[in-house]
Amino acid sequence: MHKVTGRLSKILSIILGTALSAVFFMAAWAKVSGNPGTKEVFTTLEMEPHGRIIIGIIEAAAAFLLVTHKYSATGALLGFAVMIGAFIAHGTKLGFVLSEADGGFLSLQMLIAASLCLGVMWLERHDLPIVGKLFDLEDERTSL
Amino acid sequence: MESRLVVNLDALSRTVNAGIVVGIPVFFAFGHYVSFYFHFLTVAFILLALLNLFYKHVQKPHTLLANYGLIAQFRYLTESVGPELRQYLFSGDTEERPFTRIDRSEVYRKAKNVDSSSAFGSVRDLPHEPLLLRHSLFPVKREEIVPFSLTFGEERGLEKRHTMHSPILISAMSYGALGKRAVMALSRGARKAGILLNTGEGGFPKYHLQEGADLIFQMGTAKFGVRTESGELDEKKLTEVASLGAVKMIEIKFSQGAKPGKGGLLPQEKISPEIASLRGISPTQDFLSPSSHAECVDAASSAAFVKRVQDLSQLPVGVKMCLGREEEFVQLIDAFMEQDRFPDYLVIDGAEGGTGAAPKSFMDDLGVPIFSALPFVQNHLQQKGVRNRLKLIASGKLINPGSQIRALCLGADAVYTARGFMLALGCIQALQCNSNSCPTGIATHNPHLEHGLDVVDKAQRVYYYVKNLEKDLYEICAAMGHKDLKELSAEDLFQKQEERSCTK
Ligand SMILES: Cc1cc2nc3c(=O)[nH]c(=O)nc-3n(C[C@H](O)[C@H](O)[C@H](O)COP(=O)(O)O)c2cc1C
Repeated sequence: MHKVTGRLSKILSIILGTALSAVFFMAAWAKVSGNPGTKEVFTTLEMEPHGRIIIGIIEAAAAFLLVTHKYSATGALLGFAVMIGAFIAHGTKLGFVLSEADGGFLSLQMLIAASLCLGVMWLERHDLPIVGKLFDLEDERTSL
Repeated sequence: MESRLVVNLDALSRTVNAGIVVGIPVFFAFGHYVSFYFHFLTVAFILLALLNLFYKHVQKPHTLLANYGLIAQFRYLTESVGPELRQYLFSGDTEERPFTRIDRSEVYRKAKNVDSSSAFGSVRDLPHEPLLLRHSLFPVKREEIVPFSLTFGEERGLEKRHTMHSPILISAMSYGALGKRAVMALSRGARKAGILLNTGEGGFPKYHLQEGADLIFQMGTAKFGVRTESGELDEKKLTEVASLGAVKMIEIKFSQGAKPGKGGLLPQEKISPEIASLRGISPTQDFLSPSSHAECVDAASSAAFVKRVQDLSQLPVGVKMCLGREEEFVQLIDAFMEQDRFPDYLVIDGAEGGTGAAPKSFMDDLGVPIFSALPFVQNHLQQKGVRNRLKLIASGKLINPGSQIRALCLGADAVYTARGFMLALGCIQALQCNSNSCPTGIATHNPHLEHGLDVVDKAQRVYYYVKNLEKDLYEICAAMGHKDLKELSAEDLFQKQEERSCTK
């Protein structure tokens, strides 16, 4: 029983991790390569060009870590942190609906990405930095 | 009354926890009005606050984290690096256990063949040392010293007797407890130094054989390598092992100082196919070692078993044990006398002996220490008039010439050390032999950790360690007025007397 759920959650986390990795990789690429849209966004935030590149690198790191075996939880954590930052940016400076064509689609994407990051963090909670070990203890406790 | 300079952890944690929450809007404001870059901190503080919530209200195993949150993390962090900090920064030279820094560095210096002289005076508390050595007014000259030689099996007139020319042997450490490189380095060094290497109870000594040292094959209580499926002696396998040219002697282990009276559990995860085949056990289930040999249920059957192994192997056969009940030892000697056959040697392992893994209580609480056991054994054998029927080997933290000479004075014919040689191989006493994470690649099978252990270099250190030990032993022996290490006796020791007073 435990083994089956263990296997299921592993498969699920690999699927989610890979999907998230692709999303973050594309976002990172857009930022680092200087896509005009992202340049505009970061100009509004007064973070051109350094902020754009830093965030791009963080996203690339998250994308990379998400597809590793041991550090996918760390990757998800990084991704989640970037998403919090993105919410702050949209909430305070950019607005949630960028244009009529967008219709808030990007914001929805962010929301989904953030939730999926949380999902991967939960599935891989034993590998989270610092707190991971606590979950091992937690498992032992509940197996009593 | 207010306590003075005591950190009030409760108040401190409240402040820190509140600080984290307050940090969020503060940095948010900075991010909004000053520079968006401040939002990096906003995000960090949001995550910290979430972590804190998790510590305080979700996780259950850690009381301190639940009560104080994040700040208690520092305690666990410092606690986890405590042993290293203590070893590197705060431990005195004579404080660490099992081996103090001065004990260890003496081994390191011998193994690296660098000068080991010190200056100004002893740092030990000499008036309170229980046993010191007496020197002679008329020391022997170096040229007069007789080289050491000890022949096992001569008492029985064995054809395949074995003569050692060094009073030092490498004590039992199995492949399993040690990684292959460590075993190979020991074997190569032993060959170069011309000393015997005990295989430990790890079954067929594949890696011990590889570098060509002379071996003592150890048969533990599980008889790895020479067992039948039910754990009894497989005579055919034993004769095969005994006929390997490199195997000079057989040692039957009754018990060992670090875990006397205890078998062991080898978990399935540790039983690689290689280990399973070397040891002759199944790789698909946990293996439970018995606490004694199936054949040995009392003194008479134990004595008979020794005789049986002697007859089968036609080699010198020894017995290793840690002294427990004295009357049982007496019975065992009586049984040997009755059948008129003694083991060719007896190893007395002190309670202070080491191990790859044992329950803490067994290490700390069971068995008689070597310097108490040895005089008893020696006296008893002499009283019974059978001291000349066997050789006596001592072990238990005898890693330096001083303690080795003491053991020789108390009746030992030779000394065994295991951890002395681990230190020579570069062991830093990280105390992780049981977790496959030995940082010096000795007690581990992790290839990354073994990577740094260079067999050739470390074999050289084993060799130097032996040679420098021998040199010191001979020099001390000469200073004590003896030409031959065999002349040493209890008379050569100075025992601290309680209440010795100069006014009486
Ligand atoms: C890593 C390690 C493995 C050991 N394996 C064995 C073993 O297989 N059989 C045995 O009889 N003793 C074993 N011992 C005990 C030693 O042979 C020896 O009796 C004991 O450590 C005392 O010597 P020392 O204080 O010089 O190390 C082992 C000790 C260590 C440290």
